[in-house]
Amino acid sequence: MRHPYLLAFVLSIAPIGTTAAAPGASFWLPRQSCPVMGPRVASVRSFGPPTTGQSSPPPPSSPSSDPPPSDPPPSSPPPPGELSGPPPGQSSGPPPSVSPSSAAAPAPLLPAAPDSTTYRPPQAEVGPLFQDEGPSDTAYKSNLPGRPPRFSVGKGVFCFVEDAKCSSALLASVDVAAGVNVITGDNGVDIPYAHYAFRGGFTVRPITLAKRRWHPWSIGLVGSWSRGTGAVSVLGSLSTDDQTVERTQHTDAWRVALVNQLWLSRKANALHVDLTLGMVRSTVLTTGLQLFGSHAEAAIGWGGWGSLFLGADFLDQDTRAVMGVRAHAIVAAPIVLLVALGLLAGGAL
Amino acid sequence: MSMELAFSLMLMSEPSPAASPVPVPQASSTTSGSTTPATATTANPLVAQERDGPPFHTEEDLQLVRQRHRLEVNPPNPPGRTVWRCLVADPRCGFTIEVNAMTAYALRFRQGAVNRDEVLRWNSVRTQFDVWLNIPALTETRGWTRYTRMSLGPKGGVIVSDGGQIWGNLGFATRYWFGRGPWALALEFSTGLTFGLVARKRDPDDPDVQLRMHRTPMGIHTDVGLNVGGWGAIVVGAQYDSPLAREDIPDEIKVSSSGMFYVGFRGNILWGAPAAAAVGGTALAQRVVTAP
Repeated sequence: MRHPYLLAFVLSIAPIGTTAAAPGASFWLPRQSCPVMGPRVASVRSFGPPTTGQSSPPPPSSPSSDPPPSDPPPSSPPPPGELSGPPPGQSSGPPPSVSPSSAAAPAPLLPAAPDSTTYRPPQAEVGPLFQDEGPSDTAYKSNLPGRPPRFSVGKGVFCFVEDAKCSSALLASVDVAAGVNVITGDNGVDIPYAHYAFRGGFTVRPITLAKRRWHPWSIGLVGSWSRGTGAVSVLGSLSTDDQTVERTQHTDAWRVALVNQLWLSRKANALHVDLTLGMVRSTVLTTGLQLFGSHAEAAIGWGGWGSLFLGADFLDQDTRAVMGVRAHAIVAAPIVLLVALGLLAGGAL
Repeated sequence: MSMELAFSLMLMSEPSPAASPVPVPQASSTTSGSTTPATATTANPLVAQERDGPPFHTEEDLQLVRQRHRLEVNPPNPPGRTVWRCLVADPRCGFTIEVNAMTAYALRFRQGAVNRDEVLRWNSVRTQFDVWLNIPALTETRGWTRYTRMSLGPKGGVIVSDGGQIWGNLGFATRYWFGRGPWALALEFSTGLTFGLVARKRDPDDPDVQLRMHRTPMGIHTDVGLNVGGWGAIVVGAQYDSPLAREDIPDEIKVSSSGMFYVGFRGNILWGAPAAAAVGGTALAQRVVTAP
C-alpha cells in the first residue's frame, strides 16, 4: 500500500467485518500464499500488517491501564480508523516470522473501539508529506525491517550517521564547493572561487525527544573550516602602468552556524532540507585581517550520507558564493586518505 | 503486490453497486418488491454474471489479473543475500552509497599560444575518487522481490592528474542494470562540474614548488561505462576546463582552456583493486608525467 489515503478509501468501501473472514478478499492481511502470486517462500520476510501475537494491538484496557494523557508511546494501539499493527515501515520487535501456525489466526483489522469515557488527546498530525513508507508486499532483498538506524546507539537515540528515525545525530562531513568571489568596491574583479571544507556538529529533534513521537524538524549546531583559493585585489587601472595586483595563497575560514532541518519523510535515507545561518571568520581580500561576517547555506540531503548545497560567506566587500557537494566522513575519509597516499607516494607532498 | 492489484481483486470479489458502472441486481432479487427479474441481467451482455461465493472469482479471473499486472503463477525463489549490506551496488538493493575509484589513461591538452593556433598535448594519468548516492529511479518486481532497474543520484569527489593537479567535482551518476543477478551488467553514465582546487606551482613569494590552492573556472566532465555487478566498470569519458581570460583579469591568474580524453577502469574501493590502482596511478602521474 503506497498511499494511506488510498488504503483508507479501500477500507471505507469494503465490508470489513465480513471481508476479513472471506478467503478471497483478505488482501491486506499477511499472506503465506497468494492466489495470484503463488506461495511465499519461507525465507522471504513478511510485509504488511503483523501476524498474530507479536504486534497486534492489545484489547481495550481499563482506564487505569491507559497510556498517560500525553502522546502515547510508539507501541500503543493506533487510534480508531487506522490499521492495526506497528508503525509503518518498521516494527519494534523482530520481523514477523512466516509459519503456518502464525498464519492461522490473522490479526484483527481494526482495534476494538476505545472506551468512550476515557479522554484521548488527538494524535499529532504531520501531514501526508512526512508519512512513513507504507507496508508493501514486495521489498528489496537488502531491506532489514525493524532494525535500528545504521551506526546508532540506543535504537536511534544517537546516530553517527543521520537518519530519519534518529533523535540526535552526529554531523561529520567533508565537502568540495566552487563558485565566485564577488569583490565590491574598487578592490578588484570577480574571480572564480573554490574550497574544500571539513564540518562537524550535532543535531537533535526537540519535539521527538519531548513528545516521544516522530517529528520532521531537527536543529543542530555546526562548525566548519575551509581552505579556499586565494584572493586577488587589483588596484589601479588596466590602461595605466600603475596597476597593482596583490594575491594570497589561499583563503581560510571558520564558521559556526545553526542548522535547521526539515525531513521530508520517515524513510531511513529520507530527503531533507537544511537551512543554515551563522557567522564566519576569515581573511578579507588581501589584507590578511581576520574579520567576522555572516554565513548562510541551503542544502538538500539524503539521510546523513551526502547533500548538495548552496552557500555564501558575506564579509566586508568580499562575498563568496558557492555550490558544492558534501559527503559523510565515513565515506569521505577513505577518499582523503587515498589521495594523500597517492600524492605522498608520488612525491608531491 | 501493488495497491491496484488488491483493489482490482476486491472489486472483483465484492460486487458492490457503488463500484460498478452498471447497477447489478442482487442475488436476492426475487424477493418481494423487486421489479427487475434475474433473467434481465443475464440477457444483458454488458452486465457481469453474478457468481456464487465466496470466493466470487474464478481461476480465469485470477489469470486475467496476472496478465494485467504481469505477474507469474510461480515466481522464482528469492535471490540470495547481497554482499556487504549493499555497500557494493546491486540490482537487489534499493538506496545505496558507494565510493568509487577510477584509474585511467588520459590524453590531456591545453591551449598554447593563441597567435600560432598552438595546442599542447601530452599523455597522462587521471585518477578520480567519487562518492555516489544511488537512488532507485526505475524499479521492477518479480515475485515478492523488488529490483532496481535504474538508479540516479548525486555524486561528488576529486580528480587527480599530473602536476599535483586536483579538481573537485559534483554532478549526477546513473546506472541502468541489464539483469538482476549479482553479476549483472550495467551501463553507467556520470557527468559533473569540475573546478580546480590544488596544483603544484611556484609563487613569487616562495621559490619552492609546492601544492597550493589553484583557481580555475568551472568545467565539465562526462563519461560512460560498462559495469559488472557493481564491482567495476570500463569507462570512457572527457573533460573540458573553460578558460579564465577576461581582459580585466590580471595576467598572473589567467588560465588557458584545457581538457582531456580518458579511458580507464572504475570500481568500488571496498574490494581493494580499484583503490590500489588509483593510489598507484596518482603516484605514477606525479613521478613520470611532465606537462609541457
